[in-house]
Amino acid sequence: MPAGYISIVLHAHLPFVKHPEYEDFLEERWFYEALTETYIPLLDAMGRLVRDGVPARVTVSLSPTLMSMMLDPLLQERYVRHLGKLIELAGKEVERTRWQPEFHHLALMYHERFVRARAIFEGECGRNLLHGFKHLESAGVLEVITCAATHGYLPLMQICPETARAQILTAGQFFAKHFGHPPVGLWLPECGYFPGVDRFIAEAGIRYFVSDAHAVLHGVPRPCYGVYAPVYCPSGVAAFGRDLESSKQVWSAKEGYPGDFWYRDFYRDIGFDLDLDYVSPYIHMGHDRVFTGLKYYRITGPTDDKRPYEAERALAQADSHAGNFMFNREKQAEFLSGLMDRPPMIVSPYDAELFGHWWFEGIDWLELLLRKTAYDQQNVKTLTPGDYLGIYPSNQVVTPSESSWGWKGYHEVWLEGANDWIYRHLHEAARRMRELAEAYPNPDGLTQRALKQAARELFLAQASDWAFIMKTGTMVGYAVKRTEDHIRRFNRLYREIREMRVNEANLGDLEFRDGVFPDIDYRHFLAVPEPTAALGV
Amino acid sequence: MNREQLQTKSTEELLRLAEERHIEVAGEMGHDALVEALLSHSGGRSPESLSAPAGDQLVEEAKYYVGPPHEAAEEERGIPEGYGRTTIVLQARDPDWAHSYWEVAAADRSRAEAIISDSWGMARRVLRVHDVTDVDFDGGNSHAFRDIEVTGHARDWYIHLGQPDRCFCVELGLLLPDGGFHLIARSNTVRMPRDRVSDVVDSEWMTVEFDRLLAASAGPGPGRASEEMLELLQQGLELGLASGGISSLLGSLERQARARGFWLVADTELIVYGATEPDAHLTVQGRAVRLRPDGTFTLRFALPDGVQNIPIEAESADGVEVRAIKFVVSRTSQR
Repeated sequence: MPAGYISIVLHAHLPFVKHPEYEDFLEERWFYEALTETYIPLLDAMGRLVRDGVPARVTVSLSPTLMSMMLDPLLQERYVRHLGKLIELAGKEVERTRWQPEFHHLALMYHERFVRARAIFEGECGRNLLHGFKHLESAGVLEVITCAATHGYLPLMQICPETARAQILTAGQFFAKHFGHPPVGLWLPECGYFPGVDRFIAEAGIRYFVSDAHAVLHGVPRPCYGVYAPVYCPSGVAAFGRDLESSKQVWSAKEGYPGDFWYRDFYRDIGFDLDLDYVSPYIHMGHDRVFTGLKYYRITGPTDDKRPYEAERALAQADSHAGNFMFNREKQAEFLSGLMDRPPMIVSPYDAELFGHWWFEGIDWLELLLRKTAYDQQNVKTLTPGDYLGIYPSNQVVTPSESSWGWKGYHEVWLEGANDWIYRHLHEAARRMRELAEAYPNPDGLTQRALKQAARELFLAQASDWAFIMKTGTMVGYAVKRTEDHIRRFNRLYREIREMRVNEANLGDLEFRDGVFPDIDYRHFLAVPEPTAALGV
Repeated sequence: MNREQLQTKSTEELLRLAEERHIEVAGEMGHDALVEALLSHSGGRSPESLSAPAGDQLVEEAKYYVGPPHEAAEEERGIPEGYGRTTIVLQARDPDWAHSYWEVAAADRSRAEAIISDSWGMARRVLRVHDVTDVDFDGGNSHAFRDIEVTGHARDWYIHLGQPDRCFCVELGLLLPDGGFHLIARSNTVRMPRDRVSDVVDSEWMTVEFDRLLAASAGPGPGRASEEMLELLQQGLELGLASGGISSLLGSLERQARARGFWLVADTELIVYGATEPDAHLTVQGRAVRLRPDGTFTLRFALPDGVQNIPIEAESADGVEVRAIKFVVSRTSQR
């Protein structure tokens, strides 16, 4: 038996951004960039582990909105076009940098990566990345889990718990439809937990969620193993608390690996560095400079005088950081196992987009870490939370404490001066949605379509991303517009349903634009059943 | 606008009129109810006066008149300020602070205004914050309460409670000169998040090493006292060990502000272009170059410091003829 287990959990999420009404929409690039730099390279790396028979277990949560975008034919088509342009640009760069050997080999590297991305996206996955995730799941390297439907921030739905429940039940059903089985785990958006939300998770047939450390540490009664074993909520759902030590090694802006001077600099990009005429076909609308993904410099240090990126040197650094991470986990597991009567479970959750997109070498680091952990030592073993519950089905019952993994650990990121105005609208829409669900148990065809669309608009308005963006102060206009658009669309549908005069043209337009969750069940918005009825366990 | 005129309008238009006149619209209001609301809201004036302002007001309004209002597209309108329901909601922000927002419907607002004016302006709008921990609150049985005076325009408030793990409820109301309280709305009850390790110990799962496990859970470092451990956990929370999802993606769409002040960057590129027979074989610096269908070509190079020899050779399709041109380009930077 190993001294301890390490559980890497990657949370992949983007808000639903699809604008068929525009040819080129700036914010859709979030999705394309994350595909090219994180999701596809991640599938590639995990695929290599499978190919080489490396025993490794990693958990990936795919938010239902991200899954929806991966499934969307229009976005798939647009991504193929986007990737085609990237390959063209990288090809030009190979030519242009002929007299600059330090950049020439980087241009070649990007060209190769983009061509590889296309081979995976179009060839191996048939444009639908979920095929790739399903394959890795059945190959035994991934445990894929779900998240709330549109990544709504659940603790700020306590006034309207039926919407928190609807977020979870919808996500569970959506996942089951596409993966062929119910999800074993759920990533709470922003690790936002409140006592009682676990009931809905139990109701969806999901066995665990991940929370921040203090959700478990401040739980009642005291968690006897700290965060190093899961606890069962009174509903029977397991909560796995985050390990702060391993988190810090990766996340910390000051001490974290991604800030290493040899790693690639995120900000220097040819989209901003090169002549406008030259990059114009590859930026937004031909004149608004954006990142292209071709970046030639390394972090270098606290200076504007950046040095050229050296891919091999950076890879060596990633290798040494992977070794360091593993060594620290071994020491940690050794120490902890002396205090416990079972091996400690060290849960290290990260945003997936940190790897590859923000920390360019992050995917290499992860692959190296998994290979080293499999072959270079015996003290720790990778394990998923689902695996753990199979080995240790008996755990202490603790009610975790309300919390999140956001700044300061509670709700302040999503409830502060820049975004607190949204809640009166979100809560009123939630109240109205429940009213509609109660008033129309057996609607006619058109009303039913309108009810489903109203539920979609409410969900889309609830995405935690909008409040987050309003707080950060970047791209605020878009977040405000999305919140207002969905609230307004919801309110119009509400009025039309109540007055029995649903405008079919408008409804059809909304179904086209905001067409997430085709099978959404608006009855999930009915009042929350009494605990005894809801549990069924 | 009289009743007949209003009745010819669509519900949509009536809602817009109501919004323009700051009339609270209840969610379930149908067409007729909206007409009534608009008529009754003319406040003493005859219904017609809605569309017939006094002379000077007409002049004032004309300044801003830019033609008949076009039917605004659905996408361009804002969202309502409120929903015409009297309500107050309380939410925890963290263990010490809560946020409350409220709305007061027209009828309740005029009632409150009447009370204030009856009291010669002595009545004050307050938020009454009740500690209702483990109490089935009926308005009078809280452990303690305090009042926070709020302005008439305020629609929300951050409240410092400083009592984690206790339950609170707020009431919006008027504090009357005689000490009485006129209730306008009562909120939901909130239990504030906990901020520390529980004293409740589970005898079935007791471990002797709890303190050391707890200390380890709070972050890296040697074992430490539990107070110190709490502080460390707090510091960890301040660090915010989360990227916040898409924040790096956000950054990629907007230019980063430069830390330094004035600056200049410059670089050079070289464009080599020309033409030959479309079926000829062309090389530049020994590498084959694909010609456009009309036989032209363009190459673009980053031009660093140093000397570049750029031989260009074209060979006819039958291999009989060869033409060559060579450029020598040098760049020297002087700072």
